[in-house]
Amino acid sequence: MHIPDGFLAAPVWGGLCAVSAPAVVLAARASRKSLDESQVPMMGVLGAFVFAAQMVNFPLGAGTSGHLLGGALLAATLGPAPAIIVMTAILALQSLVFQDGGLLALGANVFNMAVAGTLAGYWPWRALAGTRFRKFGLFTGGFCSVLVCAFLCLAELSVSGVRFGPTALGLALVVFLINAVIEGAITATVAGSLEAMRPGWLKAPSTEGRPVLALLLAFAAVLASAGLLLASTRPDGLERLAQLTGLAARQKSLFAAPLADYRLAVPGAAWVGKAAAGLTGLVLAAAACVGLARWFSRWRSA
Amino acid sequence: MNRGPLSSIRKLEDWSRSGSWLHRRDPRAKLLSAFCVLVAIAVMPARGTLSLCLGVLAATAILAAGAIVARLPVFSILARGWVVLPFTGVFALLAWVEGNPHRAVSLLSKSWLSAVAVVLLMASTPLERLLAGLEKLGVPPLLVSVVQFVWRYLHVSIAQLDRMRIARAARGGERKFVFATSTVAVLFASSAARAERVHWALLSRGGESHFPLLDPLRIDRLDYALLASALLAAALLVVSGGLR
Repeated sequence: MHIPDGFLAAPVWGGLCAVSAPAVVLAARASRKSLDESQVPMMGVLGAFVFAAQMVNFPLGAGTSGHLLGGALLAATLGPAPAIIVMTAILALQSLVFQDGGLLALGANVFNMAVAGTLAGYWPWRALAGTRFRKFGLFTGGFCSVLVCAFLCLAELSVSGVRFGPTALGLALVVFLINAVIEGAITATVAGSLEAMRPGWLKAPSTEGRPVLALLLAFAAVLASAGLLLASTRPDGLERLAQLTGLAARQKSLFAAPLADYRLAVPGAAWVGKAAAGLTGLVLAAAACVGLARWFSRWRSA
Repeated sequence: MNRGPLSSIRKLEDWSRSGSWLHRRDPRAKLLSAFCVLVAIAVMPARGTLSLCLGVLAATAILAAGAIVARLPVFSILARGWVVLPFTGVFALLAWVEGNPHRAVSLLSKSWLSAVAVVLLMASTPLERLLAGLEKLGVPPLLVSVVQFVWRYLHVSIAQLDRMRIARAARGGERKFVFATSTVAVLFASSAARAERVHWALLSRGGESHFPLLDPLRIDRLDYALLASALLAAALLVVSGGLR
């Protein structure tokens, strides 16, 4: 899932760099705040562990094998912010030294795998760590993290004008779904043996907060990335998306490939109105999610 | 489990330690120059066959010139770019099958050229100097430290994995999912223990988790010259790729 350079359109890699850079800086600040100095070597050495663990083949029968990606496992052991930093470090090394993923596409790869993938792997675990479904939380974490990465990666490629036929897209989705199940299974079993060795390694996050909110966030991440993929593979859906974000009005020439038939001469007032409408919709949906989560958690604790 | 990636990066490491004109330039200047060339390759329009050929030829020539200035083996540098082939090849094939050979060739050549540009950057800059340059350019110090630790202990972890594989094979180990799981879990446990020892070692030296450079970075006029020529090369690329 490492995207090389030459695939993404300039607004896509540029925009995702602009999103990833502050996200990584924020994660660095958050981990500086929550960790002491002894955690810096821990993050580095566990990063080396993930790098090496990605080379272990997990036999799946019939001569096939899969391997760990590690985002969800790191999030469960180090916490989300340090896990984002470690995954970013791994991706940077892979891109620089192994030419696995491009340097300009690093922003996109960091966004998919280090930021979105890690958070999607963390939220289910955070929601279920204190309950009977602890193991299931780990499995779901691994599953969601791979799924979100895959959806985002495919969506970015197709927004950039890489055309998949429906067969290729279906095949890719099936492969990614299998990979997601494998990642979930590996994460859950490895974490299970770690817990048997020393219970302190898996950080059980304080479940005082709103576990259901975390679960809803994970759901939202999966749904949003799937929606993005769906929207990006259908031209009319993409037009809607572009109108929603007001992207099309600004980036006419660079967005040429998928937006060729989109009328760019939108008068300013019209797209501002549409963007405002879209933004209002988003805010309303977010408010509904939070409200629902509040209600759920109150209902659960009652 | 294989040693393929490590033996191939050893060459990159060797290359990065020689002392040519390009090697002696400040890593910040080299990073920004590589960035300019990468952006030029990425935005090079190359709509027609002629402009695509011209653009690719110009970019190849520029990168080869860089390798010659760095006194590196030109063909090995250009050949290393082909590691992107597995990913790119699939998409190029898809585009070709859909009846768009121009797009297929453009995808292949652009991702190859970008990879060669990164190889040239890494072959002319030792990793620790590059990271120091990145930190000066505003990358969070925590991220830089973590990258350095990952790079330092990657080889240790992989060597341990190899020893574990040999030990299991010597005891007639089977290929089973459970065994792979316990291998990974034990690797995690010993990595955590190693991290603790590393922390103690750092404490014994005064508690600095930062890697100092032997000779500090400094920018001089030649670095600006490098940056200027990279900008010129980037402009040349965009122009030659934009011809009709």
